[in-house]
Amino acid sequence: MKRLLIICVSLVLLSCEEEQFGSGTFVVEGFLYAGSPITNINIKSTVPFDAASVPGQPIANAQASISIAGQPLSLVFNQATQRYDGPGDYAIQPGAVLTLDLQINGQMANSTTVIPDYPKGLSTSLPKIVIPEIKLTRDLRDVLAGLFEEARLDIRWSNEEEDYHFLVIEPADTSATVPLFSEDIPSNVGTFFDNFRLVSEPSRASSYTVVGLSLQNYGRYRAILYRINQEYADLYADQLQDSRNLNEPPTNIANGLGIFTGISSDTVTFEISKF
Amino acid sequence: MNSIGYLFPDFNYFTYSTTGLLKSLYISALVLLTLHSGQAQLLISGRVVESGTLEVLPLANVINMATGNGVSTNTEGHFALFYTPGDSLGLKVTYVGYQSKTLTFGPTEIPPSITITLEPLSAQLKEVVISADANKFINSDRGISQISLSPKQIALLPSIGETDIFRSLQLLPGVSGTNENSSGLFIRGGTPDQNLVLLDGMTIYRVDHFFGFFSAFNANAIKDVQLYKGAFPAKYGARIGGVVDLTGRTGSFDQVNGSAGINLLSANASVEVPLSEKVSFFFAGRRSFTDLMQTGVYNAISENLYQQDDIPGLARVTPDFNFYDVNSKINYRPSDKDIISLSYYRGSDFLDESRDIRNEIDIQDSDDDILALIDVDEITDWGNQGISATWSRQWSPRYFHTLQLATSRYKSNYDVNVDVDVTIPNRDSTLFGFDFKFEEENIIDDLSGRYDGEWLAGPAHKVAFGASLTRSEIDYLGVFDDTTILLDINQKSKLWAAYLSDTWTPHSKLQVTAGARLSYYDLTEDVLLAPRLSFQYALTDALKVKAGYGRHYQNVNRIINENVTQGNRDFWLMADDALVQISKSHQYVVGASFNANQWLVNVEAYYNDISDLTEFSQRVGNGSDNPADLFFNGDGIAKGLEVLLQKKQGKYTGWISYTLGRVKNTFADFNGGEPFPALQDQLHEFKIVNSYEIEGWNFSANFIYGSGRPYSRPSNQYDISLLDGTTANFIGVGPRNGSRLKPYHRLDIAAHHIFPIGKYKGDLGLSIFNFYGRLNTWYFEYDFNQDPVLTTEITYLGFTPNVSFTFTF
Repeated sequence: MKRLLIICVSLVLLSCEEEQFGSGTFVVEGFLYAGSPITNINIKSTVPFDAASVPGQPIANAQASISIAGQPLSLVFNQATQRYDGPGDYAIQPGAVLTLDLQINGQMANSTTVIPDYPKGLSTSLPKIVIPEIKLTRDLRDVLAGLFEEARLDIRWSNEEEDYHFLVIEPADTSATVPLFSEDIPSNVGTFFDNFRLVSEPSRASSYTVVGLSLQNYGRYRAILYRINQEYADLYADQLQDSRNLNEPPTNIANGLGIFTGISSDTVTFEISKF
Repeated sequence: MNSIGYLFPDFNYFTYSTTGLLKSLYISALVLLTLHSGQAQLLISGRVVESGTLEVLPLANVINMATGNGVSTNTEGHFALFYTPGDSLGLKVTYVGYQSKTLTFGPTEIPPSITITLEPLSAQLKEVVISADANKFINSDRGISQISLSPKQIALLPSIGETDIFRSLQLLPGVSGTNENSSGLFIRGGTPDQNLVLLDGMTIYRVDHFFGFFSAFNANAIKDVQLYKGAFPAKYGARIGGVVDLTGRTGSFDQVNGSAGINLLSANASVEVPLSEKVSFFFAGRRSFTDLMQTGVYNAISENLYQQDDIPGLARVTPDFNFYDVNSKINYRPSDKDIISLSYYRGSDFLDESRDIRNEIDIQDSDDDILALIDVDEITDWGNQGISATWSRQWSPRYFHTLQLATSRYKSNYDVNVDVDVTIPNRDSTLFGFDFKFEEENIIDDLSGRYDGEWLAGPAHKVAFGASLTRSEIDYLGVFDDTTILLDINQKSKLWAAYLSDTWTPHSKLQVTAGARLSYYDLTEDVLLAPRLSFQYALTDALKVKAGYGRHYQNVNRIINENVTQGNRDFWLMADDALVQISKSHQYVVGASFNANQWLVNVEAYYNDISDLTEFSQRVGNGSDNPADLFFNGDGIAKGLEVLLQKKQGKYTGWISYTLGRVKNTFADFNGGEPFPALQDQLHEFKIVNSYEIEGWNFSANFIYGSGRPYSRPSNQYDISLLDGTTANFIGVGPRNGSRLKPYHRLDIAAHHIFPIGKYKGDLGLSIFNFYGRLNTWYFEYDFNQDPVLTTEITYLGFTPNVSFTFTF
């Protein structure tokens, strides 16, 4: 009977519950590069969901520190960059475990990450991709088809453990300014081949094929291979959501939002050339 | 220890907390039983059948009018009832959807055996004033949380297009009626997969046709529907929610009957043929013609389903869709005591969402345009099929058994093949091409054998017992490009079960049913004891109180595979103690009913304590390819109060139902481990069902109101700079399911004209779903590519009329 009484009372009370709504919090952007000092840790506020997206305001009054092997290093707010920096003479080594501790207006948050080893065996299959000048001619079809298939090179690295990597290809210097497609070719042809540019997502593969036509200009390019952790790969999880099952955003900050992660990198260069 | 304590030594908590009440009831009943036992009792037995077809009527009520004692017929229509000799005997026989009948025998005229025929209400072409003891659509006064539904009568209720048993069940208290895109039953805060759905003993895993708008059962092929909303008898197991037990029609042993019908979505036909005096044959089939002809109803539903897929510049998907189902049954009566039946069911849905996407790149001053063709072949098909063979024998008026062998297969396939081809058409040249493929297949095979016995041990005791063995196999495979496997699971299990229960009626005012079900599940090597207890006590002739308790286990779970852009596809997995746990529930029910003249009031409160629920999410798992990271376990509490006010008599019949409910789940990985409302949580639900019958016409109207369901609302946004210099935008989410959609309501109306066509019968119907075109919110979709984030309200179906015609011979 006691349980029945509890049931009846709870039925009366359940109609009195109030709905709860979420509130804003803060965001951490902390990327820690192997071989570099701790710098540019961004701590900022969120903005209302229904507002036009404006950058969150930097939070300057956070008490922040990073511990390495139990030794805390204080982070200092840099007025110029509006970000937090650690000691300038301390370079983070691969394999180090770093813990971030934050206190902002009484709210505590923390996160831990590991600095991954440097990528191994980064190389290109060819030093350059040759793409002769492309002009609007009757045989453009054959030219494009041939170049699409032939003008390529592979970027390779060693990844037997199938760790996450992230590849970025960017101009290595200011020389890459001459466009692949001459001005008489409609711009949407080049735009079309842009679709075959590097898909910037974390990958567990050990190679990537560069389609020469997908790059905009002749010149020298730099391929930066980042070795990353799971928490960075999580940022790329499908963000299409609806109200039937809206999930919390990916974060490895306990009691906060954003990311605190270690990264290591290596670089290789190649060239897009007319000859 | 009281008697229940002796029966269930593990049942100490309940016996402790209810000892006082049960003890006093037990002593009272014992005294009454002793008084009664001094008188000799005789037995009258018989069978209740439908007039004309002689089809047996299961679970009809047969009541001794002098004592008030009553029994239900068994699955083959048999009953046996004790009476005191020397007096005349009055029997009252009732069955939902049929005219009730009263029989009176003088002291010397009482036969030892009798066959009672009942007239179906729908056979009437003229106005029928339904008697006080008849129930036109439902009978909710059977037992604790048990409701009977008349498949013959529900055709008169409004519908989207098809006469639908499960949609009709959604009009009952405690069963949600606001899920337009699911025929599945959300019973007392549970989800559809928590319900055991049986058709002639075959387990049906998916009850949806047509994107969930219709259930997979043809009402023409179903004779009896029993719904148990909770604390169900020990005979049933393997689910933690409710039970829907469907009995298929056997067909007439006496005459050829049939029907043919059509509406704006499908056509159906049924025929029943007596092959001999001892053999009957029944067949019913239904098929949509939506793949051949698209009516306005189909287009309305299709547009509603694909409204979220509107992408500027691309044509909306035009699906090619059809469904069908067939029911067939052969009954053989080798003797008056035996019935052997073979039942077959098959239901299937086929959806082809294939489309071609064409993207032309115009090269100025040149005829050599580039053409990108994307050929998407996307096929989804699902369905159930099963066969059951049953031998029933009435060994004596006191002992009846059923031996059954049943197979059931559920399949769900999804194939998508994307072929990209970039060409220069004028030069008949291909620049390049590639393709992408994904296949998903889920198959469940069940083979079960079961024995059920009923023994009338005496005037006060009816014992039910049985045993079963179910061998199940589940395959799930998700694979990309024939090589990359997302998930590949093969599970085999055996579930042994045995049960025993006693319905003890020491006095016409008191009935106690106590029992237990013992199972062994070999996949986890768990022995599962599930005690069940219920009682009813009549305070007056009209007023009775009742209560029930049940411990329930579920070893197979439906997993929702979220796919926001292409719709969720679900699959089933067995509990294995690794990915999926055995779900468990304690169900408590208390209630009272008042049944007098033309009115019935039934009130029940329930409390379900659920543990080891499983959810599957690829998004929460953050892309992990470890299956264990994709499954999440938690607990839930569902509690509520149901009220039913039913008018059973007169030209006007109907009911008002109200449900006050709350469902909260707690998952360690969701909402910071704090309790959150389940998606099916709905505080208030109010429904009115009206039916008015006059001179061959029947008018009906249903109104449904439900308070807003929960959803998760974004609370803030932020961006993070990525390694390639771009930024990714994210949203912060408030408490999980912490906001509410606006209230749901709609009005459905229908009119049916039943008229003679020669010696046959016609039924012309007009049904309007959502009469005043309320745009109820289904969910919100967020487009994070817009700035500010664009929120789109996806709504349910609006004003949708349909017409139907049925010819019965």
